[in-house]
Amino acid sequence: MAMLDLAAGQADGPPGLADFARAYRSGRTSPLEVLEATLAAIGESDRADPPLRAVIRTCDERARGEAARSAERWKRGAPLSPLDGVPVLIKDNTEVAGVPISNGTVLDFPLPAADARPVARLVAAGAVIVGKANQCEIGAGATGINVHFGSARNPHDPTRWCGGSSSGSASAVAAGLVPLSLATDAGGSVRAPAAFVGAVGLKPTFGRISRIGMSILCDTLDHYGPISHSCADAAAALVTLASVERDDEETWDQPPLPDIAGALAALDQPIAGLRVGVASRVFAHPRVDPAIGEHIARAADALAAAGARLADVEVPDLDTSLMVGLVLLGAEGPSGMEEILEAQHHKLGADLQVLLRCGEHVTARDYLKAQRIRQQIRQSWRALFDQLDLVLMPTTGQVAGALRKDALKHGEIDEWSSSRAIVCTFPQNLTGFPAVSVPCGRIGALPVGAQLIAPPWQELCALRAGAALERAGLYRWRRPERYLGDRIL
Amino acid sequence: MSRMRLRVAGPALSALARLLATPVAGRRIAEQIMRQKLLDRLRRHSLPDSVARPVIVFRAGPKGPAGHGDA
Repeated sequence: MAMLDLAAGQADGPPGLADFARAYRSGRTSPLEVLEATLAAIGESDRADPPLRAVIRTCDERARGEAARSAERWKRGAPLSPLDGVPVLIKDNTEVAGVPISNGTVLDFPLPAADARPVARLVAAGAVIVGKANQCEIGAGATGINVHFGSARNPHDPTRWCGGSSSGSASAVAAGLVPLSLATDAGGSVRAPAAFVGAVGLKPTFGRISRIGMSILCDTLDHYGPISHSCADAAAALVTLASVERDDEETWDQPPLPDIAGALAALDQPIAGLRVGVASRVFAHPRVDPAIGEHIARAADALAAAGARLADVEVPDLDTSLMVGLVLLGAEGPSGMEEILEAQHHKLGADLQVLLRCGEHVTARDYLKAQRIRQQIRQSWRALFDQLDLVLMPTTGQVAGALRKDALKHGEIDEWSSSRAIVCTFPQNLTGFPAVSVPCGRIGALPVGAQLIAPPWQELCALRAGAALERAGLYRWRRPERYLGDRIL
Repeated sequence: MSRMRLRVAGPALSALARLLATPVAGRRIAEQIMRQKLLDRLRRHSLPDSVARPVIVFRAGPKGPAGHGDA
């Protein structure tokens, strides 16, 4: 059973995948009991004032079937993987067979007949799909506002947002409803929400996880990625979710990953000699709170203390990357949903209606120019990795912001907060390079995330440095104001 | 930088959405917003032919899966 010997989380921290496996193996609880407790906790989280709104819908019967089969496997001592019986939430823009998909909207989408590929991978590993996580409407938003389902609250301070667009995926993990969620990232939507709630958010290399079954916001920017409590759990999720699919050319170029035990062993390796570029000029960027820069500087010191070799680096201009990314977003989004959005335009929130109307004015010439500038940005990032193994910079330019009443009811377009949320993440949607956000401190009660960026396919290198940051103890878990995890395991 | 401070919410946002939905004036205003916020800057961005590379939007004759993973 060596494959189940996942690293344990912090003793006083929220339960991770290893804790679930240990509890099932010992017979202390079962996947069925955990599922029922999870469903009850989700219900309770939405009865609170204000409601957490991390979850749009649960799929109780489907989940009960999966949990029963998992319980049987554990009883026989034959789990499929360390994820067997683990409750997982899926961002609402992703198809789960037989479960309505709304993509954060109130539009009528066809009922999915099959699981999206990464969902199928989770199910094949024994995970229990509990339901669909809240998100910004069609994934377009950085502050997590959703006027249709209610905006997901930040468990550390329910008066604040979780960021977006994967607001519910992040909120649910931080509130302890699930140890793992599947999210998507077209401009930072895995990493920024993870940073805002003190979780680990991994955006793998473009092409690592198949996007078949995702309601794609942007063809060339979207990625799948997991949100979890630890780098070890992110590594286990990455190995589970990654696949080469015969009918998905995007996935064909990837080199193989080790199995989960191999990936976890890689995370345990010392980081002595690892060459880390510290993007210290970013700390003084107008959209980055200087206090966040101070936390990233401390994270750099922690990596150096663990043996990493630091170098100061200048990364490609963040403002140009943001401009290019937003032009691509305007032109591509929502590339795969045009018909349904046009037919039911009146059902969209006012904020999305405005964004879509403005995006119509990107010409083909603008789009190609933006793509050409994007290539230059990508080449510049690639050149950095001739001398470096990783780049360290903030995940976000600010901590989670306040939810405003007018935004909750009607939606909002908030350029300043949105740009601060994604200014540091967008470059890796342009490059397609992997990046992970790891909690590295707090400002008041609110978490701060450090972003570790690696060259293509080197996700495990980024996670190895992330695990070193976790061991350094810069961010000690504290029970969030809204936390229900202790009712589940 | 100050141009990146726009915030619209509440009834004003609903009114803006209605305005942009009007056929002629709405389109013109949406185009102005997009130009002021992004496109003017993009169009001014210098990208000489000597450094620009063609963007790959189509690749003929793709190779097959490498044979690893669980395809």
